[in-house]
Amino acid sequence: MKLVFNETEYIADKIINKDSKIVGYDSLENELFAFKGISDTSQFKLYDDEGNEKQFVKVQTEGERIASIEDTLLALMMMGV
Amino acid sequence: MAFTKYVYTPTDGFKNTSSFPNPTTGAVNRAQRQALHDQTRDAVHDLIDEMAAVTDGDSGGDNIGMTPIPALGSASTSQSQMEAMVALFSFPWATTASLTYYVDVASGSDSNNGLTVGTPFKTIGKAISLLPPRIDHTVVINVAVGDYSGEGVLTVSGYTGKGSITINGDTVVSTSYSILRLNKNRNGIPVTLRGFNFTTSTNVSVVANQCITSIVNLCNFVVSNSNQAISSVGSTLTVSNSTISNHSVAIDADTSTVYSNTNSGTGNTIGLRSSSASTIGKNGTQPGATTAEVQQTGGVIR
Repeated sequence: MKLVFNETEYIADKIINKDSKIVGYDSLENELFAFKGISDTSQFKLYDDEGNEKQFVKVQTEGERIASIEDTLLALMMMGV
Repeated sequence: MAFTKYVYTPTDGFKNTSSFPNPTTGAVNRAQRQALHDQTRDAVHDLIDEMAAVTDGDSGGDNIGMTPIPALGSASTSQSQMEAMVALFSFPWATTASLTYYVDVASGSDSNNGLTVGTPFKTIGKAISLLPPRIDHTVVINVAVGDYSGEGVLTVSGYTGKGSITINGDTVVSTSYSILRLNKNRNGIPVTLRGFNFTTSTNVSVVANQCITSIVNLCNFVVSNSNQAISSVGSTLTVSNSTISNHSVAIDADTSTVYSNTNSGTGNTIGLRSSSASTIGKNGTQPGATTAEVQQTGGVIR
């Protein structure tokens, strides 16, 4: 994958967008680069190996995951399940 | 003038073997050393006299039939060579005591001696130009309020020794002590810049290249600039209590160790960027940016 920011290309096997951070890893999970404290992700463009622009898949934080599970449980309870 | 050629051998030492046989006693040895010293002294004096005669354009009896001294060339060339040698050995190569220069763009003159508030230089560059390459003491350049941007880039380069250089401007983050930009290059001593407002919009404001203990304190970098405000390459740099706004990168470290302590600012694209195994240590507030930190190619920010 390729990340383009500020006219510079950053290559990584995996690029994660999480908690205002974008981090690139190699195949062994070593951190290759990190952008932290991002307030405007529109400056970052993500491309796959074929050069097609991709959307960031935002990784949920722990709090976001708990809230999501709670919402699902509540919905199930209201459905009488 | 006659020269005696001396020969050095491990067994006999440095001497004219025909004139100085192996000494048989300490007294003979001392006499031979004295004779050698006297001959050397006389030869040097003769050479000086001949050079003086040639460079003075002396056409008297001293020069009649004299073989020209090789490599001296014409009298005028010799004169300039000797003057260059005199200048070379007259320029101080190291500080002998602490030194303070004063600079005032409004009232100063580069014809002044710069040593008192009342006799300041007009330009910071003049003060820097008088510093010897070896700084073994504390050197301070006190700069008065004013705009020094017209001097262009200031360069502090190649200083070594046991001392330090401090260029003092304002005592707060300055808007009125202005310089265009500064290059620090290959300094082996601490070089501190304190209290200046940088005005360049087209170049990096401060470059520290292969410098030991470079310090930027109470400086203002707010003119919109598509370059870095501060770039450190192969250096140890401290940036503190400064305001950095509207730059592509506020503090950029490449193969460096940088301490960013309590800096502020807004509108930067990148706040801190650490590359090529650099370490940026941060404490307190940091320059505001749309991307606060970038770590790449082995650089870390912590």
